[in-house]
Amino acid sequence: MVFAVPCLLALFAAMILMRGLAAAQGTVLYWGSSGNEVSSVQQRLSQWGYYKGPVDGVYGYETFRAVQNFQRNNGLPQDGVVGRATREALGLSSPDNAPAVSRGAVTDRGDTTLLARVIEGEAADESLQGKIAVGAVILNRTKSAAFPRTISGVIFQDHAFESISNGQAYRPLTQQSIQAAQMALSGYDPTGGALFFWNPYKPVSSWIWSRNIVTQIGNHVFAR
Amino acid sequence: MRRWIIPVVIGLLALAAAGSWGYNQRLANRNLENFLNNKYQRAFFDMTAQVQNIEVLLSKSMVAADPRLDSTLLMDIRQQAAFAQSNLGQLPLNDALSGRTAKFLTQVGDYADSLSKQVGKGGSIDAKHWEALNSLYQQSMELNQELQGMQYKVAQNNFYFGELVRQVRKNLQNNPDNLAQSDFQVLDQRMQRYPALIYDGPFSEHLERTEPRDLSGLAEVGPGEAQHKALSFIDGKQGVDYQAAVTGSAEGRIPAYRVEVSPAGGSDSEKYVMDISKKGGKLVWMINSRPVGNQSIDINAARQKALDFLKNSGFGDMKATYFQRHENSATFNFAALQNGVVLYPDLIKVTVALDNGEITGAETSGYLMSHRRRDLPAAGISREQAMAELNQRLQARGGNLVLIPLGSEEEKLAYEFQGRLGEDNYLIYVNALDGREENVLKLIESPDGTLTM
Repeated sequence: MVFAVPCLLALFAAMILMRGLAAAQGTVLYWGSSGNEVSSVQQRLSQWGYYKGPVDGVYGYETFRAVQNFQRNNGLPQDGVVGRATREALGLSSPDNAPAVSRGAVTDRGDTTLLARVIEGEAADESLQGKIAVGAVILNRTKSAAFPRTISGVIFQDHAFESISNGQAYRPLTQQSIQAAQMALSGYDPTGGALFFWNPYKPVSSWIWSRNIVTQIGNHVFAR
Repeated sequence: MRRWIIPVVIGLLALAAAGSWGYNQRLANRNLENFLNNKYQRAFFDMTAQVQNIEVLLSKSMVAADPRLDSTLLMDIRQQAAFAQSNLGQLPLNDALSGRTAKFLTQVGDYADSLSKQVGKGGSIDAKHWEALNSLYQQSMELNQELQGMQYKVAQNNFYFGELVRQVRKNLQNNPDNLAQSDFQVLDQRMQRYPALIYDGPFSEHLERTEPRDLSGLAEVGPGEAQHKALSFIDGKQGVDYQAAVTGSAEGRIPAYRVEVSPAGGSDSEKYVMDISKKGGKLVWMINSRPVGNQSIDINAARQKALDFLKNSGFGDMKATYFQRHENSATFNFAALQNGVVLYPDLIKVTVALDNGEITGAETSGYLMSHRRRDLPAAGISREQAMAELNQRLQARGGNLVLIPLGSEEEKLAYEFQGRLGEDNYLIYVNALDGREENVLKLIESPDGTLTM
């Protein structure tokens, strides 16, 4: 255990170093180079007072001299070439190798987990269709005008779900709850569009009995 | 003489320890309560400010003449309504206390959204819309007034919401009839008085009363026939005797019999549970919750099983659109076809167990609600013309004719293109009549299936 900490630290350091190496593989700029990267070098050098010429993207004599001066002041070899070390000293990140449009990181995993939590908390002892029904009520609420529009909004609404208020929902998830959440998300709704459910054998507000009851599945009554 | 001193000292020490522990608990409790109260107050004051903004913006939208200004104002209304609703959701109120207010906020935002889209397409705010805006304005004024009154009380009493929480909790458990005492209850009843708001957006009230179109005109079936139908839908094992029994009913959007089908002598987990519509005896949903073993058939074979199931269950020509895997089951999405045009509003989901290809679930309510023979218009522009409308950065292919739902009632004939930009895939829908780009969906591919957003 005592050794694990330095080991982990070393691993982290190695990872950071490797990442740094991977990121800094930019092109090397020298006398005769041209393009946007030269422009950004020129711009940075002129901001810092090394370069007096125009920012034209052409690596000529002026740029060469400016780079040399910069290298001397920063303890770098004065070769007049912008390599990795000089680029880093200039504070220019290497050009982005990533494509212009990167792959997104959108998933529905968060929603599935949240939904599965409430299902586990409210309907752990119900059959699969009883579990899907609880998930469907939450999804129906997101489509109803009277409720928040997101799954998290519905679930964490005050007093909406007992298992969220008392922490019952934060139990380990069972496979069936996750499956029920996935099926509810893919569109299964055994409740016919219900917005409420409750256990008729427990004391509940009489207000809720005034809703239109749709059906009963297992120990839950579903209503609109 | 000294003997009693030790127990007394120990007793005093214990008392002091318990006292300091209790005091610390009390402090921690008060800190937490303060923290919660502050959060509630922030949400409440933010909401009050946003409702005020809505009122002002609504009144402005009634006098603005330039459609561009209208469009900006309407977008602002929509944003403020969304914020206000999010803040309302954070207050310690249950649906009994805040349902109508939340609905009002949603409808204001939704109405502004649908109106701004019309204005964006070159429409203008006519007399009918003006009346609706006016009615919303009157409601927002009343809501605003109520909230101002409450704001005063909240400002006077820092623990207003803490007390409300206690009151709500007590009332819910003991005497529900006292619920009406709360300020929020009064507010909600006031909002209740207003007539239904009818327009094109998804939260318009007339949509809550739609009927299943596919079932219109079909005859009612009795429980006996429903049981008979139920047996025809299941994909049971050969040589096993199945029994069906009506065990209840469902009075949702699609009134139905609840039917359970189980194999003779089989265990409870092999049972199929389903809803059979009272009109026409069609399958509404079916779930079999048996555990599914390891995968032994591939996705294509499973898709074919699902297609066979649809054909045998009396759903006409359907096209598989996408699928999602969960564990060892796969749920396929199907859309109806009419003369080769994909009808995206008419959806059916079928779940296939990948261990033996058995159908373990189906959901047809989307289809039953909206399926009918459509009068499809002839395309006004060609596929090539539609393709020319796309963003030139996209590598596009495809171009089938499809019918897509827009909003909740509206449907548009469109060309469907699959576009690719970098690593990302998109679906783009171009209106087949006027070449307007109607919708862009992003496809998110994961090992479990493809998601559209």
